[in-house]
Amino acid sequence: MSTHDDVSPEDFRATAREAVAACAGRDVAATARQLASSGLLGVLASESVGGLGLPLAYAAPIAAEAGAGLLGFPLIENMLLARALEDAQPSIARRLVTGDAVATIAWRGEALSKRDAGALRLDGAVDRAVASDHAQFVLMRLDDGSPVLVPTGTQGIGITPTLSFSLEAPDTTITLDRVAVADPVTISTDWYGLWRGSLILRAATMLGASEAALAQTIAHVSARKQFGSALVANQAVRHMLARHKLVIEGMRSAIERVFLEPEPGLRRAGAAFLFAAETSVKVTEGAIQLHGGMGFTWDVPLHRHLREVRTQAALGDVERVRAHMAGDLIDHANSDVERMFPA
Amino acid sequence: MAASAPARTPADPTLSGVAYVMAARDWLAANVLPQHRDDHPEQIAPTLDESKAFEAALHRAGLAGIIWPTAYGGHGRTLKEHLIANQEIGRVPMPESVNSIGKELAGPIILAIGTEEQKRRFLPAILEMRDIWCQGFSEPDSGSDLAGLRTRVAHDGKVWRVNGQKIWTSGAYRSQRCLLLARTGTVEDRHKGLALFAVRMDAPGVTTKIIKSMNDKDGFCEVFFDNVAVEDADALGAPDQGWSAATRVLSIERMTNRMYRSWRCENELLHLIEACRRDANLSKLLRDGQWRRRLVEAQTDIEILKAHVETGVEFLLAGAPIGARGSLAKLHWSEAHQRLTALGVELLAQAEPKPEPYVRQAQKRFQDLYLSARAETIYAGTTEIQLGIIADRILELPRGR
Repeated sequence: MSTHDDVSPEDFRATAREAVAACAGRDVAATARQLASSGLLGVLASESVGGLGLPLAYAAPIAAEAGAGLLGFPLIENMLLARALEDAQPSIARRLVTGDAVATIAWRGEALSKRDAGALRLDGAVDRAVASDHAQFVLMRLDDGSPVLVPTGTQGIGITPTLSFSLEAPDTTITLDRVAVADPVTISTDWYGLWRGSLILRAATMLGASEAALAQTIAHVSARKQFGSALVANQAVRHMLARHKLVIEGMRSAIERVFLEPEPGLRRAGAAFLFAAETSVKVTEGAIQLHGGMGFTWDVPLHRHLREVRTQAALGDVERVRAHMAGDLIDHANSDVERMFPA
Repeated sequence: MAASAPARTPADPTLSGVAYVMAARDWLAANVLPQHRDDHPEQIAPTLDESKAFEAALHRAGLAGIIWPTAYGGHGRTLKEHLIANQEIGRVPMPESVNSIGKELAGPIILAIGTEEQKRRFLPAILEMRDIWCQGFSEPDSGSDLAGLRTRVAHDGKVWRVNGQKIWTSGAYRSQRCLLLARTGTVEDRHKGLALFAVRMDAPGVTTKIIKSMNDKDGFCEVFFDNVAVEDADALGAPDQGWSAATRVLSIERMTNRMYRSWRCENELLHLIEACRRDANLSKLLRDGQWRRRLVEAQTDIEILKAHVETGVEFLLAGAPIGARGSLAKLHWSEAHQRLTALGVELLAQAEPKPEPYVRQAQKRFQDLYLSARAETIYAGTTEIQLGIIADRILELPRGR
């Protein structure tokens, strides 16, 4: 990272926090423009498409602030896609960087594809696509493993909301009925590279949500008095908060450690994601518990943090990550893993 | 024909990078006796003399006293190299050190607060295994609450005189020196007046009594001090000064000591999986979703543990104040290791009725580990103490009263 010595990942944190706060109450399109005006959507994309061309580590604090501030936007997808499309589709990449267009990724499923004289015909269904009903483009995986970018307005595409925990950016199911793609776009990163990047950034999002929930809980138990003293005077409460801090620092270290390695492998990225998925749920559930009846109300936003981390865990696909890691650890051979995380 | 040059050990200061790693790996592969490895089917514990000889050789090979200055017998390498060497040490299931108190606790404290004469007298003797140390901190009435300790020390004009009792003093019966914490004033002084000494275990008035531990080992002891004379030369720092400096050292040590543990946990996990492969019953369970999930959870635990250690090293190298950060790593390690050893016991219990020796040894190793891991959430600050430290010093929670 010697070429980026003038700027550190943490330099993006304050900017991201302000931008995320400014997005409150805005729709997806307005959010894209707001984030773009702060330069956040192009953090990974190269300068040739208006981006900053920085490594993935620089996107982590942005993702964390999105988790803390409950950003309703397919942020991870747009940061990753602006970079992935920079060579194959520089004009689209540029539109993502400027917030002029929004893209998303259908993380689960494979489209049934038929090639016909250069054109591509898609059928079937894919899902776990955040906010595809507000996006202009969606990237999906074909049954031959390659990713393809499709405009959401293409004839034959149907979008239905999934029953999602998320209030901020619900994910959707995309049905494909004889969808004809005239000029299929091939992208520079393979599907597994994108997925791996998303796992690390999802871990960062879950870390941000957990930190926000812990901070709010500390404020609450320090002020709330029962039996003549603040709740924080109780050792049971202090130890629970200490356990939340323990796992938050575990998440943070695991994410930092991914970036200590030039080409992070499955073990580091998968472990950071799995640990965050498991423990961020505990932290946000615990935050609700320690808020008592207030924690169960709609207006106290802790349920939004809980919904956010559950959604991130589902989007990253905990079971699939675990299955890949088990294959790597126990069977020593897993071609899918090798494709996903090339050595 | 010229004899081939002797293999270079990691003690060779010209080695760095990959060559250093490979030298460490090769030396360990050649010098840890197969039958002393915890994954050897006919594993036997080394005798005390064998342990001493091996650990002295480990030091000569450059794999102990790695970051200590060369003037005191160390190898003067960097913290990063210390980490790298510990990763290699962790990957080899070798016997635990019989002098970890000397190398990990007494040595660093002496380096920080000892006089030049003390450094030259004590430090090489630790690395060369001439002096084994034990830790005289806990007492019957003050375990976690060290500031409540009662062992008194007073100067009689010629020497210090120690009176009192220590407990849970691991390895005291085989030690030459005790790192003793005692008070110069009264119990009411709490942290004031605490002082550190390097007490000779063969001094008149020192008696030790072995306590058999729940894992059927004779590891720890009670130590009684009956008017034991301690020379001025063996006082480590002045009263107050010694203890406060020591606590600063300890906060760093909690981060850096026994750094190999994360990689040893990984070795244990891989040993468990290999044993399962070699057993007809267990190899079926390796295809069972429930057990695969638990094995991945153990691996995740271990990766987080490595992350605590590796980012902690980066933190120290950046010159950042380590504060209470070591508590996080200690707490996570102790609980993650308990989970791993429980998994091993539960999984290996389903082996064939007459398991082959490799599997039987894995069963034995995990039974031992499971039992000894009970101590890991108790020693070096119990889990409850660590949680208190995180609440008070890291989160800085208000008292609320």
